[in-house]
Amino acid sequence: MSEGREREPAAPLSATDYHVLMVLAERDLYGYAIMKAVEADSGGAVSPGIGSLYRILARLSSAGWVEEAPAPSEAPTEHRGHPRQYYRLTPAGRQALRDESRRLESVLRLARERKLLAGGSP
Amino acid sequence: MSRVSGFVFGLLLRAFPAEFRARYGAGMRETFAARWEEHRALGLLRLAGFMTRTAADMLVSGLRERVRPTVTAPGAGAGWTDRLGQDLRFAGRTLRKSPGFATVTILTLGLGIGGATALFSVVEAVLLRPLPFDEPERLVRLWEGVEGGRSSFSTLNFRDVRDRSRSFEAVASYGVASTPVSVGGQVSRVSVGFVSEAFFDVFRVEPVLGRRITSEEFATGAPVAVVAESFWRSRLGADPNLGATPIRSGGQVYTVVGVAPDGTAFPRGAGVWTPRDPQVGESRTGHNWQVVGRLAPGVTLEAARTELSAIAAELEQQYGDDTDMVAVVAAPLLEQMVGSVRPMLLILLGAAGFLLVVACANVTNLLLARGAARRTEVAVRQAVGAGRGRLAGQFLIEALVLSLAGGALGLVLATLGVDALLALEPGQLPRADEVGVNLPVLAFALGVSFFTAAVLGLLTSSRTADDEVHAVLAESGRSRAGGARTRRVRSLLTSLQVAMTLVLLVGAGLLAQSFLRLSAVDPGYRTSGALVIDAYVPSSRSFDPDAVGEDARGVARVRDVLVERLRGLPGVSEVGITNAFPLSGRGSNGGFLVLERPDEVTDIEGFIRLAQEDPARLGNAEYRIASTGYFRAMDIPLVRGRLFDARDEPGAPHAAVVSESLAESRWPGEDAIGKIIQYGNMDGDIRPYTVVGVVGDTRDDGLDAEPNPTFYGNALQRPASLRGTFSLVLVGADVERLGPAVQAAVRDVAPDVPVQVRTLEDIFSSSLAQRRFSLVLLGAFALVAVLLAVTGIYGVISYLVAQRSREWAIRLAFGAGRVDIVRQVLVGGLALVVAGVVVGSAVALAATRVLEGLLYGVAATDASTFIAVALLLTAVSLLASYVPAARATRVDPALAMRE
Repeated sequence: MSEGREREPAAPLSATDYHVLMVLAERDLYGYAIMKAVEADSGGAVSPGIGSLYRILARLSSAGWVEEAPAPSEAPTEHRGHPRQYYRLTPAGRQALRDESRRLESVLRLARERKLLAGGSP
Repeated sequence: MSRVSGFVFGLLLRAFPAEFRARYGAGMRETFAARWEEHRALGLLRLAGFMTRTAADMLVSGLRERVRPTVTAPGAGAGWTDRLGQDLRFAGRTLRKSPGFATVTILTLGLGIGGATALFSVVEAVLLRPLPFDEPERLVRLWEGVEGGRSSFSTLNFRDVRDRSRSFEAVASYGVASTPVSVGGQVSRVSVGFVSEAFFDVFRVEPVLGRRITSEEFATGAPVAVVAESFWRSRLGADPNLGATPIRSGGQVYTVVGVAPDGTAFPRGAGVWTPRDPQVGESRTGHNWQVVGRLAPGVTLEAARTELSAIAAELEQQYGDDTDMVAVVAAPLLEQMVGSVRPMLLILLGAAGFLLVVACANVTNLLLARGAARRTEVAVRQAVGAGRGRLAGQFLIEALVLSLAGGALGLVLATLGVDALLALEPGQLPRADEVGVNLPVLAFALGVSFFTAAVLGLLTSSRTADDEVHAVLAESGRSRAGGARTRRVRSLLTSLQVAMTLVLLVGAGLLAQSFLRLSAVDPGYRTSGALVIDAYVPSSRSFDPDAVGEDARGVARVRDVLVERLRGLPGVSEVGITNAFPLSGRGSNGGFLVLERPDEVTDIEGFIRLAQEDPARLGNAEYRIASTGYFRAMDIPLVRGRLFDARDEPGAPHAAVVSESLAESRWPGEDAIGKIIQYGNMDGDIRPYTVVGVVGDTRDDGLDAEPNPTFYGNALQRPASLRGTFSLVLVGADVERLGPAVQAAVRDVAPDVPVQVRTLEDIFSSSLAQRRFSLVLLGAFALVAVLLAVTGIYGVISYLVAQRSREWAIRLAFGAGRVDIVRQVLVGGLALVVAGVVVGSAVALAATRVLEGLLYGVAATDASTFIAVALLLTAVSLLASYVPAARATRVDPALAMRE
């Protein structure tokens, strides 16, 4: 690689990327809330570290899928005097999430056909 | 979130490039704070797990971000591999340019990493590595649970437990003895395992040559043996025809049928295994056998324990007072082998960790000083377009190169250190033969090196890159000053070093005090100026019957002739004999009966009946057989009555001597002399003893163990207990030089009696060896830490003095006294030291508690030790500050002003 920067998340998306996009599709969230929502959605299976999470946010931001957002009106906007940074999904991000979901769906269909799921023989 | 955790996270955040931090730092801190609170509620262990995961994640993510940024400053160009290569080359070049700096740094890191690695290699081999058997986690040791503790198994209880239990795939009993084994006329002592059937199933050991011992051979106690591979090579010349060379031991000729692979020796060091005599000890109260088992697949230790306790209850109900067993105790085999040394090893590993922290602090200080000296260079590079991230990366790489070099040196030192460690070790460390530098140890050294690099790099890069370019260039190298923050970090690090050093010194001080106090304890017997001979005379056939008669009589002859010969050696003034020498761990103990008339008990059944009818007659003591010469030779004082003398010939009533504590505890307020004792249960001789004297107490189990109430029977009248192994003690002028003469005498009298000749001083000294080992090691760590701390203080004060040389010059020029200047420098140094001492004392107060088990006669919080160490450290530190202080007063004003 001659260029040292990561421009776009690779497709297929990593589980963590996918989950982050997924929780942001629901509503705008700040860092800690994203982490908790991802953990809840995945039943604890996906639990990114703090450094990893923010690198993902940075990567998704530079891909134009996620952007910084103002705090929702009902939520506290500050944390210990610092403005709390919220993130939201961009239309491009929503599209990417949709694309990835379709891809997963087709994979899932394939798995069902081959009876890998729901008690099918191996 | 606590301030400490916030500080730590701040450091971790430094792993990321400044651009990333600027954009996401606040959010990351907030997230960390929320996660911290969340985990704190779950308990300390979970919190520690969270911190470890977070640290790893931050370091890895930060490094990734530096290598492949998701956030970049505009204009970043070259690929990361190019930059890494450049940085590495640059680091190598700069270090070569300052060899002194590089040497000191690498040496310091090498010491720190080496110490930690050496200790880790011991901990890894002894505590962490699984035992060298198939599925070793399923191996379990079993004991009879008896009132007040646990005990070896009796034959019948073992058999019942084995047959009734379903929790085990295999259970076996064994005994082990260091026994003379003769091969082709050559006799040497070998550790022989007497094992029951299924022993090899428990360990799943298959012979590399030949076969196992068959069930039939076990059932009949056939004279066959499996030998260890090393024994087969060294003693049997690796002869593949196993049956060709029989081995002789204990009057028996054994045919070798199999060779067990090396590394699977159990019990440790065993060279020969033979079937245990199936007829021996058909009893429920003779605790003669060790028991091992292999848990059946899917059975947990807990489940096995439940089953065993039910079996024990059953047996107790069935046999009542005929069995001592009230429970079955089960523990993992590994735990049983190494549990006793775990605290000591972990303490020493912890101490090595403290030393590593001191070394890191020292090197960080050096790097910061150098960073300060290189500010101009840094500023120039920044001015010509090097990004801050790039510069920070450069420092990280430099730290990495230094740490890896230090790690490599550390590995070399560890390899040497482990050898030295094992040489120093008193032979009581289990699995010592498995210790060595191996892959996990290499990984550890590498891991520690990387970790060190990360800490050094993060601390130094953030400091150095923070300076403002203009300010530095404007100064144009006029002064070597660093920023105020750098100064603060350096002071902080110095105090940290002092604190850690203090902890190590306090630990070493406490161990030293324990050692001194213990050395001052009177054991109740002489501790030097004697020669001790441990001899083993087999009780049966191995002796040439024509030469010395048969069996016990023969044994007695050998012993008597030997004693006579030794008495005749030049300078020997006294020869004593006993069945169990102090500190040998060979003694046995048991219950005795106090009789009202000598003929009250006429057989063993009567003994048992009386004991059950009238338990108030029972007493308990260490059982010894000794000669009058023994008390004289060992300087065990006669307190009352008399020792054995000519009246006590073999036909006369048997005489006994008791120790003071036995007399006092068994007959409080009465005179023990004249009491009649029945102790036939120990040697099968039902003739009663009459107490004729009281002697001083002896600490037979070591200086730190209280003296046991002890009973001594007369060796002349009750020689049966002297069968097998016994000890002779020789005193007289220059007796310690008589070793060769003693060996010659033994060869003459009984050529195939193996003897071990040692000076009493050696025996006594090795009883303190484990304590000495911990003390020497902790002391060495403390000493190195002091050296590092002193150089650290010296470095920082020198640096501060150099920084202010202009100020000193001006003040001197304006007439300030030299004493004032010295005082000012010393006060500056003292502030660092006092801060360190205060923090260190607090840490030591908490940390030395783990030492409690290793201490003797001194509390873990002993105030005098703390004060002495604090004073010593302060004094040494002041001395280290004085040198640069004195230099400050010699500043030439003219020169300093012009700089």
